Amino acid sequence: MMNKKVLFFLPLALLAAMLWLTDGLDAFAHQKVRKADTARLLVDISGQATMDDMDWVCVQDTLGHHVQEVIENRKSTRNLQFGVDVANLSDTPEGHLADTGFHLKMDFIQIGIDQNILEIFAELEQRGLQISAFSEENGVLTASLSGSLAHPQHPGERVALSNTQVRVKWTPYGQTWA
Amino acid sequence: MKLTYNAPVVLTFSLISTLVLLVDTVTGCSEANFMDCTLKPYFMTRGVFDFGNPMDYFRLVSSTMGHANWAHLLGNFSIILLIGPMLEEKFGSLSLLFMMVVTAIITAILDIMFWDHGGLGASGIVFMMILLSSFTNFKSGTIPLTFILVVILFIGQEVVRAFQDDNISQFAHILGGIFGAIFGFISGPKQVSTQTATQSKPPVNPQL
Repeated sequence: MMNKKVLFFLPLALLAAMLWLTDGLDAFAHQKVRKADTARLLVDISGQATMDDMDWVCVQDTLGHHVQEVIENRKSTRNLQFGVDVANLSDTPEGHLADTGFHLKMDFIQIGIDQNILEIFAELEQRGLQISAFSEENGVLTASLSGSLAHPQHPGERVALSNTQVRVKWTPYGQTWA
Repeated sequence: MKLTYNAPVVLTFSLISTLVLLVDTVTGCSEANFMDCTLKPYFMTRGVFDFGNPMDYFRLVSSTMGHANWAHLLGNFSIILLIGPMLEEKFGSLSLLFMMVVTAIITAILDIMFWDHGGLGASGIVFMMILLSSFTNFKSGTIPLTFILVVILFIGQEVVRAFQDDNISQFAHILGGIFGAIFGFISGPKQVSTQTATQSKPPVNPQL
């Protein structure tokens, strides 16, 4: 007859082993973060995270992963918004923007549930940016961005960018249901 | 024949939860942003904890009474109303209330510590009750096989699901299950052995 304590702790040990075998709590946490009810996809120039004080969370998707696959189980996909922020341009050749502490924030891009990340980039391109040199490492999408953006506060002006690194990550922005 | 409030804790918990969702439904509330709802902001954790905000302490418990929609509520309370009264009768109202509050508070605290999203729902308590119910015939010095099977079927399933893309908090389910197991082991044998002793002498039916 098996010891009572062994039988009690065996299931717990099995659970712990399963968690450990699947890259542990860290991976578990990353997966959970993606379970946000709503989420924003942010584009961060040159790795300068300035959006609120939200923690950056790596996207687990490979490039071109269908957004729908990521969000299909979320209950409010219709309301999913993707924000695009172009911030802290001081590291770019167009560093003059940093002189004014300028924070360029593009309008939210409302995407459909069947759009994927490539289409989001395509929409950026429609706004006057050329995006190239995609890569993905540790769940972070990076792309090189060139071109110009319409100045959101000074109509008619454009903000030039040249080979500026873009990082794309998911951020948690919602609730989970228990 | 008259209606009886047979399980005060379970029924009160159910009624409050239903009332919260009912008010939000009547007043209009978007699933996309619960913080715009009338009552949900007070019945869900925010993903952060402000030690100076008394409401955040309230939320640790109240988040189990908030639900996203009617399907969410019905899913949880169809189980709570099924096994809750039985557990309340077996363990007592105060004991069950204590178990529910402890499960709610610790689950909420760990959820806030690990992740920065908000959370709401009673499924942590549901899983606590499911595991606890597997101890209904728990005798001292034994391990109910039903407990092992329930752990494998319910908790194992939740671990697998935790890696799927959805907005279901399997973390709360697993924690709730762990608390149910702990409560079952701590309070099961004494309660059951006493009750079993009572039940072993069936009342005499003079008509037979």
